[in-house]
Amino acid sequence: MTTSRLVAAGLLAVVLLGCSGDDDGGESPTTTDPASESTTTTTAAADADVLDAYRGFWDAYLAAADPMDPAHPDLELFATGASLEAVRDAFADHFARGEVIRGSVDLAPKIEQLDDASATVRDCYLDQTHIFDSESGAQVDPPEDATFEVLATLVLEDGSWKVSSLDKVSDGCER
Amino acid sequence: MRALSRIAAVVAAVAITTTLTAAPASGVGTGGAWTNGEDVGAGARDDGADSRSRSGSGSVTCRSERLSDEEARVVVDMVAIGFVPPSEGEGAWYRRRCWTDDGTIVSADIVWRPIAVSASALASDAWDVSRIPLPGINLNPAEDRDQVVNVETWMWVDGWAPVSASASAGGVTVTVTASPTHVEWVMGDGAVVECAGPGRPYDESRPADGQVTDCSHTYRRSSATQPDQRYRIDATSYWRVTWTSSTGESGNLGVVGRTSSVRVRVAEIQAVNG
Repeated sequence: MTTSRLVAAGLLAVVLLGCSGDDDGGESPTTTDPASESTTTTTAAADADVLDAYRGFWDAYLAAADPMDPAHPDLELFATGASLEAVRDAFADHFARGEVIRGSVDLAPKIEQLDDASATVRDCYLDQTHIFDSESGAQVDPPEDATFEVLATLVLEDGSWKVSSLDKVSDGCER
Repeated sequence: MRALSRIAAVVAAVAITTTLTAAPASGVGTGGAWTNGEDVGAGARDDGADSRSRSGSGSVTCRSERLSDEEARVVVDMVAIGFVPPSEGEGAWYRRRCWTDDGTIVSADIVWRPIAVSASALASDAWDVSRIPLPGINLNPAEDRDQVVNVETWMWVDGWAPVSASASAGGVTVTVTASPTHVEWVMGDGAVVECAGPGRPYDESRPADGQVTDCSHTYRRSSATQPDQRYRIDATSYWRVTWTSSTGESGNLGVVGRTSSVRVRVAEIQAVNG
């Protein structure tokens, strides 16, 4: 479990402990309370769903980037709203330029916030993608890889988590 | 930040683009996934070029290339999600890119271009020889009766009116017209008769004295020695095919012949002297 998830789980435990303390007149709470176990399990599952969706977003991103396909159906499975629009805009421009994006992204996402309908994920990812001319195969951007710290917002849409925004926090970050 | 100059490149591209834009990139730039209000990242690192300033000072070369079938299918999907205006009429999708002297792309668009329509090619495509009617053969005496040696046989054909067909593509309309010119009659006895028109029908309701023909033949021998004791008559009507185009062009597709046949018996009538 990541540090942030531990923090989130700890915060949840504090809330549960507080409620329990009000009810039982001062008895020591235990972490084996069935309700607490159930909630923790549920939260862990939700965490996994969110992180899977975040990773799915990047998988879709890479799938749609080579060959460049702004209308790739996977994009709308994992992105929505401004995020979907931004990726499609960018990819449409690459398509017009005759470019593709190849490579990989090494993700290290951590959940910062999670509720019933939205979640925030902070990531410091290593961007190993580069832009290539689709016809000649020549790389058209600098060869260096780079790290970016980003904050992703995901929303629950029709039962599926989707990235609704992805904002850059900084160039470079410690992984 | 390198991504910022990418935004500048997009702004420059939008500024000099005169055709439709494939990606309305305003506000989000040209990169990949993340944004910070102006930039979009992941795969977005640019080459640091300021295309906007270059586009104003250096020469720009543009080239259009027709998209492959696979790329064209992507564009169709982009049309479906509203990223590219729909196509109009017959044509093809092209990628139009403009470069500065150092190879920097300063604009890139996906454009629909009508196929350059050749009026003559369109006329050829539009024309179908089967539209020209076969000549309907008429004889007097009628073909189901005996023709008579040394008695004039009148010939005429039905279906003697111009035939037209039109076709349009890429905003060009071509009308092809076939006009009958003459009829060639191969009479079966070795004679070939060329008639300048369809021939004049014999009207049985009118006195024979008042009727004349401009298309006839007189058999001199009976058909008794012919297969089935009949001569075969081939009538070929000839049609001159021309076209005119909405572009003002016109042309000639040549002469077409259409042939029908009948078989007739030619009899000799013996004079009986009392």
